[in-house]
Amino acid sequence: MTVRAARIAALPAAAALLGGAAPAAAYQAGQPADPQLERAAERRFRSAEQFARGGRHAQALRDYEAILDAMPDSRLADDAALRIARHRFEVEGDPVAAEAMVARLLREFPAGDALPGGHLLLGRIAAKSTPPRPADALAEFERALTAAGRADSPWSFPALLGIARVSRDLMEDRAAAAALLAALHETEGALATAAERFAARFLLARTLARLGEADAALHEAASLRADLLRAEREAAPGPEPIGEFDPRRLAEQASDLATLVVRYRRSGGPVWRFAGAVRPPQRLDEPRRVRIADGLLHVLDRDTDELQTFSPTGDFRGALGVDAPWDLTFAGVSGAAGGVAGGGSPLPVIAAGESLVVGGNVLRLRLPGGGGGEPLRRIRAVAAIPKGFWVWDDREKAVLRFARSGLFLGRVPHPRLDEVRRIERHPAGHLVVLEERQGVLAFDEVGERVFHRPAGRGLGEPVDLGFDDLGNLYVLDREGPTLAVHDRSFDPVVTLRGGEWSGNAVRRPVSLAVAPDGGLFVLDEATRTVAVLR
Amino acid sequence: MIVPRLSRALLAALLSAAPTVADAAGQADSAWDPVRTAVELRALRTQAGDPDRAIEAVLSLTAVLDALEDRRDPAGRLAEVEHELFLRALEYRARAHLSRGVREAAADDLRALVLADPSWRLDLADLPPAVVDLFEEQRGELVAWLTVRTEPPGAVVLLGDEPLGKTPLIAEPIFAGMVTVGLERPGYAPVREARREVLAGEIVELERELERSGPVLSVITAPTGVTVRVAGRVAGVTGGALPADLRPLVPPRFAEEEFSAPLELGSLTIGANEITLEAPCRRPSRFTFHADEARDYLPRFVRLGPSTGGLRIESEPSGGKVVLDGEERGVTPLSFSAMCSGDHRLEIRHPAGRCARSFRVSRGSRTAIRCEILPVLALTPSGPESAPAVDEVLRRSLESRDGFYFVGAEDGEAVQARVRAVVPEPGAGPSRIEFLAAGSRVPETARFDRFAPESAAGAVEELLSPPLRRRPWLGFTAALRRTVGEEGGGYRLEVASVHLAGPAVLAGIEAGDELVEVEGRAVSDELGLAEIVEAHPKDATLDILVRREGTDRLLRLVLAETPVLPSLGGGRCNRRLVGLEAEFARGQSEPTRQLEAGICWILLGDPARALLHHLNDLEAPAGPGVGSGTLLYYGGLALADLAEPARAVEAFEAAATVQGATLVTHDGPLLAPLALRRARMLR
Repeated sequence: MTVRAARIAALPAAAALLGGAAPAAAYQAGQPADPQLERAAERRFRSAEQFARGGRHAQALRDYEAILDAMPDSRLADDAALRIARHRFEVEGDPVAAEAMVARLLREFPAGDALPGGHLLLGRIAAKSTPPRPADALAEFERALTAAGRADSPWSFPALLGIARVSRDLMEDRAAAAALLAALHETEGALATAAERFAARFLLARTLARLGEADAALHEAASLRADLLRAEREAAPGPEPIGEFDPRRLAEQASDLATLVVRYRRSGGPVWRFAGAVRPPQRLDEPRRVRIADGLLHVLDRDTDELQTFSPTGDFRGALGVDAPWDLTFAGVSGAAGGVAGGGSPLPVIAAGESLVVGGNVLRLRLPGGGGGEPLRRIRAVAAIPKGFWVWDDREKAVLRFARSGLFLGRVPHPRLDEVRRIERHPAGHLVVLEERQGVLAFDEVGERVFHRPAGRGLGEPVDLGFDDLGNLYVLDREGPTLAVHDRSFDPVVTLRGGEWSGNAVRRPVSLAVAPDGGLFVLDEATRTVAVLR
Repeated sequence: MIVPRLSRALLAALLSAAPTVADAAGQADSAWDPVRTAVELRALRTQAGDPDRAIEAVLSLTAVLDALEDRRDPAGRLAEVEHELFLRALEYRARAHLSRGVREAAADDLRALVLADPSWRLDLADLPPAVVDLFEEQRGELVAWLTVRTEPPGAVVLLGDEPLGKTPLIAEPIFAGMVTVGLERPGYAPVREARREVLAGEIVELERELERSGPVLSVITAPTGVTVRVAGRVAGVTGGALPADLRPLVPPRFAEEEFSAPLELGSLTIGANEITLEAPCRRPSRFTFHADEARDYLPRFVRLGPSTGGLRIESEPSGGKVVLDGEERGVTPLSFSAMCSGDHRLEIRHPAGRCARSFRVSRGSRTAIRCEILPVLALTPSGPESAPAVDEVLRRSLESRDGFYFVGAEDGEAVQARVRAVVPEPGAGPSRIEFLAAGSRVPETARFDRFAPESAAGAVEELLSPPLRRRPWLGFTAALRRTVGEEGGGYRLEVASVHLAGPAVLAGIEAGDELVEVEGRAVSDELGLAEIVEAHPKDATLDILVRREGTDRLLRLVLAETPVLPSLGGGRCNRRLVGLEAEFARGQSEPTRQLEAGICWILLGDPARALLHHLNDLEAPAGPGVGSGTLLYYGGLALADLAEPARAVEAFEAAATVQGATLVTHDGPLLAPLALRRARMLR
């Protein structure tokens, strides 16, 4: 709204270039906008904003459209166009319509102050598209940043955050760290909410940790914790969350991250000590998977056909029934050990033979073909990936990529595999597979093998694997039992054999969960307990 | 340009002086100048006598008179010199009118002249007799003549309440009309004549014998300018020179002194009279005078000895111009061996600011004044229509604030910072207070409520409070770490990393140490530790109890300091620069401060200044934290702003190679990723 003069000057030229795609008459004449028109537009815009805030999106949309179509000379017309585009994408879930509206915004208001917002939205659409278009997303976020121009622009922070998130998904941790540092230290801080800034700081700490900048990561985590505690103390006497985020939870996540980083800085490598066993009150007859998500322990049991949830100390929190479950992961979680800073709770995703059960909802997966496509019938393993899933189908003998909507996105390239027990996505995007006969393998995006730890060579009967927030790979081997840890480049960090590393509490392990702080939760079918190793 | 002060005597001299001298003086100033006017009048006098050029003289003299009319104060008064020039111009214009034969106009001017000063003396040079005749004719129509004699003589003659002179007064011109004549002489009863009418041209003669009413003592002082009080009330101030007839009465021990003329004290009573004498820089004197009868007593000679003390004036920083009691006296540090005792007002003006102090010097003692130079803060008015109430709130708020030398409005001297209120039209933007450092074009702002002018005080407070520029530094990072324990484990605060060049290394703190107590207080989280550290100044020693491998160790850590540099997201650079300039003036210009100033000028849009004055040739310590990497990063930023992308890329890449280099404090944030991103974008 501050570039009115620039817009007035620029539009006649733009109109000429477009061959008469006539912008509003007032612009062409270079005249200041009609104050009466401005007042009417402002009233309409305010009304729309109130409708939108109250969740009455249809009414809001009508107001925005009225401004754009009936009052195109108003200085709020471009803002209305942006709001409509956001409505199309965020409310209606229609990225094509949203992109079309942004295109109109860029065409008709090329010098408008909503321009960076348009690019920002295009970036978000590209990042969330199926399949994701990270290069397009990055380009749009950079355009948003360039169009915003100034550090104190309200668009700078979200544009940099977008760059950081896409870069992290691409494992471009250095670029992600740079964008986060720029967002936090080179944009006007007051224009982001406290929650956004805290979340960005936590993301920065995680990114720095993954980059190997341990000191910087530790400092970021520690100062974040101090500031969160201060914010919590100053904001409210009780433990209530501030706004939509819970500072105490984020503070805990920060200390978990610090614990994890410190664990790997120890000379001689990381160590674990037995810290007790969680014995679920319900009997686990055929426990298959253990996972940590949202600070809770989740155990998949094939005998009871349930996903049982416990507190870390074993208090039963609930169960979710699911037929013939095979594998378990959580969507919205980075690897097996991630957390969502300030976001909602991650959703359990269960591989259940003929379907995926996502947050309790059954999702049938089909391969493309006639008659709606061939349904998958032997889904044995699942891994969460950004915006979707990888699943292993035992009949197809392939890892297949699906969007969260269930849309088939293609096959993940890999050589022949047979008895796959687990699949996981390496933070660098590699497919990591636990195959019964071959051991643990990793393949890059074109299917080239980048890592192989064969069964029989140090591994007897690998049963599960996981990643922590630093990108370390953990392989649990029933024989020994053994725990093998490799760093994010797959170089070996430590291999612990025999029962001593687990305090002799683990005899026949079947599954492993890596906590955000690097603690291990090992599901043992002999004792039907979860051993906690800190 | 300073306009020379002129006395009437000098002016009179100039009217007849050689033109070269006067012209030179006249060029001193292009504004109204009495010297130039006097020279001009002298030329017009000649012109006025020449019938061919008289009309030009009339016009020029009218212009001079108009110019002088414009200089009258609201009460219609002119300064003494201006009044003199005004009357002289009237006289010359009358001459010019007469030269042209316009007698009525000449008579009007001369009448005005007489009305302004009935005892006016005409300029005799080239004076035509017709002018004298006309002047006397006008005077004769307006003026009578008063002659007064008294016994004894020396009485002051009052016309109404205005003193006219002392008796004997011979043929003094007075305006005709109703007059009241009074006579006053110390020691004698005042005389008030009955009000009477005096006709134009009349000669009034009075002879009166004064009636003795009390004793009279004359006081003669050395030096002159002594205030004399009788029974605590001011009776007069001595002045003038001692008349020759009284010199033989000077006591031999005072022979060398310059004594004043006698000051007659007429308010004495029969009996004891307390008389005190005071003068600046002199010891006061007091005596009791006993008058036994109403008569004139022999004059009393009083000498006031000097009363001074030593004075030393210093400023921080030194080199300030000393203005003592309104006069420039030198540059600090400055000493005076004999400064007048009493109250003084000191102002020191320095390029970095000013300070002011009121103090008293006592006789015989040494007084030392040390004045801290404070940045000068001026209030720029928001305009008469827009926000006088807000300006008033600002003025009150700024006057009561420490740390600045507040001047209401700019006074032509150097100013380090300015404050102003901006109150746009309703709907045209928020009302705000702006704070601007000298040289900056980008102000810092704080909003206030236009409908609550008092809220502007809060905005000013926000803008003027010093930003955090340094803070105590432990040199290690402590993080809460989950540990093994019962019920799923606990937490402990552990030294997670130790800065290589920080105080923790010297204290023997190691990564992995558990922090048990700091200064005897248990610390359970990062916030607790931060609060203990924040409560201690730099160089404070902290007792830190750590647990290492199961053994408690008490370590002593001397707190260091980390700079807190501004970040590109906003670092209150105007306020910082005001503080920095003050520090530079004190010689505190170490690299970190120069770096801070350089960053600020980059943020304020002047990268050239940042490079030339602050970052160029700066040497910063290599290694982690704020240092050479930081310098290279901001050097790159300035070069990028100056459209030198290749050199900027070079600087950014060099910055990224400095291990652990940080942007804001020694602890972070890490700059390498940012530097590489900037280098990539420039490429």
